[in-house]
Amino acid sequence: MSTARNNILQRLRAANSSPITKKTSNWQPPRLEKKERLIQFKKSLLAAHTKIIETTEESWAQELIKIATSKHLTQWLYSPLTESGIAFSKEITNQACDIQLTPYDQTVEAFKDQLFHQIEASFTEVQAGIAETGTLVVLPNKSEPRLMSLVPPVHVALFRESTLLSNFSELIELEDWAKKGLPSNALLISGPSKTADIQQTLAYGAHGPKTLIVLIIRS
Amino acid sequence: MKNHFREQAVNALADTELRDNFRGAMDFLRDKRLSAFPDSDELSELRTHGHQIKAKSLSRLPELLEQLEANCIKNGIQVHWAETPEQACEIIHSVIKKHDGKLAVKGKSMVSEEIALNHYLEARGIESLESDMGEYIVQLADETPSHIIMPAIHKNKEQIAHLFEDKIEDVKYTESVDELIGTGRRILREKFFEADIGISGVNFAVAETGTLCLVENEGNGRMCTTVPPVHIAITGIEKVVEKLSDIPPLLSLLTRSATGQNISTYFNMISSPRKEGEKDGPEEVHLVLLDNGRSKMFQDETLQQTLRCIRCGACMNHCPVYSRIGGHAYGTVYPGPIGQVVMPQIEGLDKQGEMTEGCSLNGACGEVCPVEIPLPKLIRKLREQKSARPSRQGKEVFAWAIWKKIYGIPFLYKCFTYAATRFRHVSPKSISPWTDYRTAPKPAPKTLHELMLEKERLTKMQRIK
Repeated sequence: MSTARNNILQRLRAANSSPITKKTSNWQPPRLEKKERLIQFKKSLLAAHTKIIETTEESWAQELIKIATSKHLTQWLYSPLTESGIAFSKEITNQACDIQLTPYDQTVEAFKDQLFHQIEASFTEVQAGIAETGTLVVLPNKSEPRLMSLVPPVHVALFRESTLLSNFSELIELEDWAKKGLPSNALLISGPSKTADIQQTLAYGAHGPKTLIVLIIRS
Repeated sequence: MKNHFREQAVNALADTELRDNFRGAMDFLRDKRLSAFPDSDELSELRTHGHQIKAKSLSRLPELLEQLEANCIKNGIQVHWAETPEQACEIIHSVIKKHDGKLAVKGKSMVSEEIALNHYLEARGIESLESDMGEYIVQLADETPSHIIMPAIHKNKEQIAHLFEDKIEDVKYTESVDELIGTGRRILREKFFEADIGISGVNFAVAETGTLCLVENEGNGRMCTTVPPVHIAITGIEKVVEKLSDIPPLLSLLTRSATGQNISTYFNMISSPRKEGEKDGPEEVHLVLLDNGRSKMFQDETLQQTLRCIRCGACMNHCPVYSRIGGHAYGTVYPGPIGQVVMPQIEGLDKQGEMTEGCSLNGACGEVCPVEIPLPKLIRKLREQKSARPSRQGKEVFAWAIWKKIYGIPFLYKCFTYAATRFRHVSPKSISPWTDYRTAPKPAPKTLHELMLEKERLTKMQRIK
């Protein structure tokens, strides 16, 4: 199809029109003061139907177990390679509670049936937060693959206030993605999966998680 | 074959259920957009910025496409080019065939509608299933989307409940939206699980990093681009932007203009297939770049502005014509103001010229466009091109010839307007078929010239006093 490529590029190059606009804009991404950020972050999360639990480094694992027991979620997907995944697993052993942990330590093909048909909830970390829009920045990797935040009906995410940014532009600058390139998949998640495709009526859990819970560790 | 817009519009106007469905949906979407832009100065700055970003990217379009291609290849994404819908379908089919694919799950993509991909694949024994809830409903009803963002907007929940009851096994009639969505979720989850191919569109393609960006709320887009072993993305060549830093303002404009959300639930940035050691994601990612008339639009300085479009749908939500006749009356892939500009340019004025008349030139679409496309101006330009060809017949030609004569000679014009105002009571009550749907106008008692003269006299007298 290199002919198609050449034809298209040739036609574009042959155009003698120049669409440069004379207008200039002074738009700047909205910057929030440190203390305003968490307020705005929580407000936006709640507006999008995300549940918030404020906790500490010492007690988040207990909070997580409380969620599991109160919602009767016994089949959990977790990462055995992250610090928080290991801490979650230890807490379950300590409390000797009835929670089955499945590690995401193999390729999806090896346990796809279990992932789609048995797992009830997943627990992951998030890399950052965006205050303006109430967004979790999820950068899937070898320890926490892409589908952890998508397939299980309940997703619990561990977020540290220290990673909270003002806006999306700040994230791009901070990660220096323009120079370094992006990870295979980078995600901004701003609530549980939803749709308004039937008569503009909002329904949660269209295809992804029905419930999104954020454990916020204050700094 | 000519598209008969007028006839379709008249039929749509007579369908009261359809009109109710659209009225409700349009009011909803307009309110949502309005509340998403509380600060009009910020909106104005942001629109100018969006305009600039897209115009700048278009000014370097050929270079950026080459840069996008090079960076995608570097990232492991295979890039294909298609001049026509047929070529694009062939490319996609050949990728699927290579993998012996039987079931393709699709995320929402208007470009895939443009190339009629589902029919092409179905004819070759491949199931091509829409997975966006709205698109799924539309496909189940064997229809086409009536809105570019909310495809099933023409149906109410009762109609969808009947559809599900008729078409899906073991589903009982229910008007509960949660239950209806639950049914869709249950069926489509199994399809995501089984599918060997995932197909998606692209909202923005970033040249400097070779990244494909997808905007969605449901998660079906992430399913299609993550679960099946092969992901094929298709996009129009105008979707490329230069820098990653261009994305945040465009994303903000898109979601706020489309559904009034500050951001969509998911913003999915794909830069590579599954890498060594990664445990999920597709083994292969393909990008199909489609021209289909876009390089032709690029030739004209004015009409080229069409290519700035980020497909938010705000123009149709605010169009008094679209909100009354709905998307299907246009009989085209893209309806509403943007459709009236895009379709005649892709398919020609002979076929799609009539739809340019479905516009009152009220200007609402141009005022809300997040990238400041002067849609009314473009529609007018296409109209001019169309009426440069003779299309008037019989009495109309005669009437315009008489009018031209009168209007060209001031004395005749004065006599005519004097007569029209003085004999206003005997002006015809029915000017068929024009008055079939309208009240006949009655001339004013005095002409505008007379009124202005009187006003002038009055002010002079007052000044003397």
